[in-house]
Amino acid sequence: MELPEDPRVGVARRALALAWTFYTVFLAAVLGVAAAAAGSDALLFGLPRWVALSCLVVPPVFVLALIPIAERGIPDIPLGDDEGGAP
Amino acid sequence: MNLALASFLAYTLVLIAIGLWSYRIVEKVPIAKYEDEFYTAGRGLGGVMVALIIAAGMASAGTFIAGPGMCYAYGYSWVLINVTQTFLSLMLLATVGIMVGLVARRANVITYLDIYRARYQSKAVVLVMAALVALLLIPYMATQFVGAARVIVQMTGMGYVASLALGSGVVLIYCVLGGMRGTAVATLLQGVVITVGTVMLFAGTYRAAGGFAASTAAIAALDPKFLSPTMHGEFSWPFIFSVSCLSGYLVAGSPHGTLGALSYKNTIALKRAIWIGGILVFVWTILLCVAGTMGRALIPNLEVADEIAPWLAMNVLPGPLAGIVLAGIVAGIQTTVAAMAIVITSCIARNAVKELGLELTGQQMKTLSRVTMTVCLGAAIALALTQPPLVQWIIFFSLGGIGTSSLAPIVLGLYWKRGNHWGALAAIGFGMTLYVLAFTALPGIGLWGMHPALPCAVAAAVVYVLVSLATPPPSAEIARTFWGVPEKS
Repeated sequence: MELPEDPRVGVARRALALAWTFYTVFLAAVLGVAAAAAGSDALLFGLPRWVALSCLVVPPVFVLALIPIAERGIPDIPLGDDEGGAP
Repeated sequence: MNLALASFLAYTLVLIAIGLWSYRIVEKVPIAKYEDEFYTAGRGLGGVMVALIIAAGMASAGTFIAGPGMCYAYGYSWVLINVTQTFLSLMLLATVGIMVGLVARRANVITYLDIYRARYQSKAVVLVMAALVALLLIPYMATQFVGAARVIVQMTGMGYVASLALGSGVVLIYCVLGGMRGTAVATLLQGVVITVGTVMLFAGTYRAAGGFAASTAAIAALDPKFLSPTMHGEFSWPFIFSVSCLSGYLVAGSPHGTLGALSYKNTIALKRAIWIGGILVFVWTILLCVAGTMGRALIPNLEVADEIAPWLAMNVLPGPLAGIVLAGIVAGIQTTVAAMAIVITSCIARNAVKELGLELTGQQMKTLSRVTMTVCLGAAIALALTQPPLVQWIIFFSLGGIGTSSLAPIVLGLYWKRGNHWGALAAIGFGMTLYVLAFTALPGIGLWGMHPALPCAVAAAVVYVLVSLATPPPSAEIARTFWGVPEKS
């Protein structure tokens, strides 16, 4: 017989999916921008364009985006079985 | 005494005071709750503290010494590689943090290997992992001490051995006396010192180099490949991707990172730690790495690349500020050592001892914890006396080995109900065998020039699944503990 699953495990699974999706998109963005801009000799902020974009612009955008994603994407749940709100 | 040394010594004295203060707190805790306090600080840490423990614990000499050193040696290509470690805290806490938090409270899990014990209920799995953690993390700790000693040598002109004693002795004091409580409080101070130090180092380097445009022109005149993302083909894109995965997907199983997942108070703290950790790691990484690269414009022929950060501190900043920067660099290293010391000690003094069936009283356990920690730190210090030259590659080897052996048993173990101890043992054995072969007889395992850890971790995960499916499922008790609805009394 299938064991009924604690709904908090579902929250943990969603957090896992969120993290791996977020990091995959971040890695694609950083490495993709670096590869795409690598051919150019132009400078941005005095740095090679690929450095400025992939190291100075893209990561802070993702760092800022992570604040609402983490705060809203992961619901608050009780961790102890005897805490209020636990199933 | 120079001003840099004076400010560094002041910082060291504060750390010793924290160790003594924490010792008094830990000593007041009843014996029955001693292990909980010593290893998880009573599971009551808030978001900032957890963020710092994970960020500063995971960002090691690889970030604070070898990071700028590699950027000095390989230009902006290594800045690109290092910046991908920004989301260490997210990858650890969101991947395993909630499950570890739930199980920790349900099954009284207080150490890294308690998770394996609860999930697999296998003496073999716990003992094999205890051996691997000690074998891989003690050399890693040694590299941290080497980094710290090299900084202090640069700063003070003292000999290597005296510098090693100064940099490592203080960690021994606050870890052994204060356990996780001492480590957490010290990490809070160290996080502030690291952040202030990195900002000052970058600002001083930027001013001395005449800004980005001037330093870029100077670096281009030395060799344009320092401005290429692949060093004009020296690093392949698969290599860059695989090294990025070491500090991304593969951190989920790391023992020293899991400390934060074991000690956070609630999900509010967990979420804060996720994004605060992102901010901290990004700021530290980008400022130190860009400063390391710009350092090439200031001193083109430094003999040991790893010495660029201390060289910059001593040459672009006035004395007292240089002392703060160097304290920040050493602090970054000390936090990692402290986290590792706690993990290795818990693996041996709590888990291995239990699995071997040794019955100890609370007082004996307390003594054993401190003795074990002293011995582990002593072993790392002894290894550091050999002054290994290729610190960064040892760090990658250790991280890769830990990632290879632990990713499948931890991540699949926490989420896949069918996984069992046969799968975990097979994954650890196969993954580590493959990993060692990749560095010895079969270098081709690192496909397309990748770091071997990534293909080995993926292969270990496949073995975990296949062997688990071919053997009986775990017990109903394990299923209830990890995924079942709690029984109401």
